[in-house]
Amino acid sequence: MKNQYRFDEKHQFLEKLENLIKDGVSSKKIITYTPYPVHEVEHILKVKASPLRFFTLIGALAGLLFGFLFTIWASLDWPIIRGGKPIVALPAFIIIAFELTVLFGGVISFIGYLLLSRLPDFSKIQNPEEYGNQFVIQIQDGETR
Amino acid sequence: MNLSYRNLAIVSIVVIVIIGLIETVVKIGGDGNLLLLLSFWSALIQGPVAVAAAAEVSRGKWAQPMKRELLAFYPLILFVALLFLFISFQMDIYKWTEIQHRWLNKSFFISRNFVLLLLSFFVAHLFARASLQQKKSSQLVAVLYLFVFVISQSLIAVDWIMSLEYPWMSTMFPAIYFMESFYVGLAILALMAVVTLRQKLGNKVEVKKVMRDAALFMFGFALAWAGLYYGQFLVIWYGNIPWETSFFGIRMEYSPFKEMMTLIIVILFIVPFVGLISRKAKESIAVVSFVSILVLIGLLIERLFYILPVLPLNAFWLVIEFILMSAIFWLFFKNREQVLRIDK
Repeated sequence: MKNQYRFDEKHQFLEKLENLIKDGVSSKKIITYTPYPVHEVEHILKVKASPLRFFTLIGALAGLLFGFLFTIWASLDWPIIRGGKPIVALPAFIIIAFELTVLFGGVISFIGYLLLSRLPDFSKIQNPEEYGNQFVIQIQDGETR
Repeated sequence: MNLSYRNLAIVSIVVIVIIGLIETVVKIGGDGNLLLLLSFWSALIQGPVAVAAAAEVSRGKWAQPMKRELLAFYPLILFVALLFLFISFQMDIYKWTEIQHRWLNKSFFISRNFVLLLLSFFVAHLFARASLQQKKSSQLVAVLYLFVFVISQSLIAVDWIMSLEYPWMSTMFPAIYFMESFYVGLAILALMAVVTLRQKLGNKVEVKKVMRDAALFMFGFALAWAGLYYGQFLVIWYGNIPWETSFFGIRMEYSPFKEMMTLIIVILFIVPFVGLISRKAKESIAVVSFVSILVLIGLLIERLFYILPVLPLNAFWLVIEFILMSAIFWLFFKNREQVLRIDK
């Protein structure tokens, strides 16, 4: 059984959420639906930071390293002097390293997101109910204490 | 120290006269003192007003609780304009004065820069009044201020600094300049939020949000700054044209300039990027204060980096002038309610 509270205003929604936590409702049993990201919810529910950021960090560092190593290796493997620059010309490689940092960071974050969300099991993320512009608090198991 | 509007004006005039005397009569050597002073403080003074204008244009509520603090510095643009007039006594610091051109000639140089600074002050005044009185025209005047701000800071870059090394030129130099001014404007916003929190003034939750948002913007601007700086370097490095590379050649080969360059990159990019990457850091008063102060120091080192290879500095008088400017800056912040009487 689920208890549900719907609000049209953000401040009413946040007030209710704070009161529920003060009343001792476990934050683990609370699910919220908002029409746009409301960061205050994370503070009130004291949500732990997602491990997704580590995927991003590892991906970005891997991309950076690969960007430099690949360009250096390619230049040394086929050494051609261009524009009088040294064979290993780091200022020019920064662009490729930067792009690969962003690319690897993005792609590995997406893979991490799929793994952490246990996707592609869409039933887990799809809610059959539609709340439009409303702010919704749902308490699982009907706990109202 | 609480001062009335009239007393603030008197103190400002006294400081202008003292700096003027130092620059024209007392000081021995140190040709670059006034230029360093003006190029650094003009960024610090115009930047916060530009941040307020950008928030007004985008209808950003994030800067609303600290709008009065940001606008408190706008009269100092007039202060900078008046101080700039003393440059006319030091025009021999520019080598181009030996053979003058249509654009680079003494009288046009002084007049265009002075007029633009006056215009910048006038538009900032209009913007402050419209914004504080919540007039409908405030957005339009904010756009106008941003426009004048970009031109003014660009001209400071091109005329005051770039022409020191004529014929060296870089089309990205002015963009870096006004972007840096905005960057330090955000650092000042964060510092003012910290001071407000420490003095337990204003709504704590709202001011803390301002601090967090300023830190978030600083994080973004650190990246943007690095991108522009690297963009400028890469084009010159790749082109390898002697009269373009000489600028970086001197600064990357000889001490202390090469150390200064590393320091600038560390302070204006690496420290804000790494330091402000986490959410907790953006909400920490200690971290945000540290990074903000460091960004201001970074800007000073960067201005030194441009001027020091060309002009000698007199450290003693420079310190005196910086103390005077800091005092005026602090007085305007402290007496902002007097400064912003225009909304009544």
